[in-house]
Order: sequence, then structure tokens, then C-alpha cells
Amino acid sequence: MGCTEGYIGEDMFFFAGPGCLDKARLAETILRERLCLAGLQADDLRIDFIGVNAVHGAASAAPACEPAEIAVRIAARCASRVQAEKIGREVDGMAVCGLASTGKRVPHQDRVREVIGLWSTLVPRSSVQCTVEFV
Amino acid sequence: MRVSLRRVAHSRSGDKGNTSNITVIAYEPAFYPYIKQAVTADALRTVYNEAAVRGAITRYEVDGLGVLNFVLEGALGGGVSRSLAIDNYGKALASAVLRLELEVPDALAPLLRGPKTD
Repeated sequence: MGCTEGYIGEDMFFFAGPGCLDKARLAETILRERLCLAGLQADDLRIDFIGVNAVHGAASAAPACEPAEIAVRIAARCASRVQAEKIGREVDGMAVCGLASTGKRVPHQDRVREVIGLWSTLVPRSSVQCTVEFV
Repeated sequence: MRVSLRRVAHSRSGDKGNTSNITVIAYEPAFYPYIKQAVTADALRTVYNEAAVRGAITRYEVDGLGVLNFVLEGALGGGVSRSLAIDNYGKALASAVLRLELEVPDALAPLLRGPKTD
């Protein structure tokens, strides 16, 4: 069963070179504070470091050494498009007045998309009328 | 003592067409002469090879500010709007130069910034 479930806002920015892991951690702290100041209302939010913990999430092993580069990716599921658009807007702020040498992808691809949630469900057999039609 | 450039300077990059500007900015005036000696156009070429920066690398010295300004031609994949790079403005390009190392007098150790492991 498909249900309209609001909007996902998503964007990312990049660090490379010495200190990139520390920069990513600091940027996450700043970004969370910015989103708080912007009054973001999200049902769910995650910030990943692509190359470190984006795939295995909380199950990721701590990096043995600093990677050469990191993409900081943020995604949030919100009830309205207006809320989801705050993700891209605050990431823009990180690139122009955040940490030194914050890389950014511009122009923007689609940063907000509507969510159609898929839910497993059972329907009473009596509610389904089967017909077969040959064309 | 031998230290990473990022303990004595920070850096920024800017874009114009297919050219990137990278500045190396001394944290303290006392560091600048040693940065100027070590961070040459040839040193930058060891960081940004011919595949990364296809044209010339030219250094301009802004002694009054303790800044070196490097102009890197052919650095942005054909220009910001045409580039296939994920960081198409090259905003993060400047951080690579901080990998360079240089010698500074031990007496300047109290002025060093950043992680001591560097």
C-alpha cells in the first residue's frame, strides 16, 4: 500500500586533505545547530560521512586512519516541502560561511522529493473482486 | 623543526572560468619568510600534478599581508558550469596544499597551530 508521507530533503558537501575527518565532525555539530536555529521539523534525520559510515551506519567500525576525503551527506524526512527545503538551504550556508575549503555541488540537483511510503498490508479477500480480461 | 604547512598557515581557493586561485595565508608574520621559501610554484606542482592542473601555476607574493597567491590555470575541468567534478567550484581544492611540509626554527614552536601530530 502506498501512502503519501511528506518530503525528503537531501544534500551534501565535501572535505579533503589533512584534517578532513575532524572538519566533518565539526561541520556536523555546526549543521545540527543551524538546523535547530532554522526551526527544522523533521520526522527523521541522518548525517552520514560517505567513506566512513554512510553504508553501515552506526554499525561501522571506527576508521583506522583519516580518509583522503569525506562527503558529509544529510537527509531528513519532513511533513512539508517547506521544511524539507531547509536542508539544502542550511547546507548552502555551510559552503559559504562554514569551515574553510568546504566543497559543494552547484547547481543543485533535485534536493527535495515527495515520499510515497510503501507498507505491507493485508486486504480482506471479500474486498477484492477478480476479473480476467483478454485484450 | 619540520612541520606540516597547516600548522603555520591556512588556505582558501576561488574560481574564475577554468582558473583556480589558491592562497596560502600565514597565521603569524614570523612564519611568512619560511613559507615563502618552501611553498614555491614547483612545490605546488608536487601537490597538483599535470592531470589535476593542466596549465601553468604562477605564484604572486603579497608580502604586506603574509600571503602567497597562486594562479592555477586549467584547474577546474573546463570551468565551473561545464565541469564534471563533484566540487565543481574547487572550493575544497585549497586544502590539498596544506599537506606540504616545511622547516621552521624551533623557537617558533609556541606559535604553531593545529594538531601536534603534524
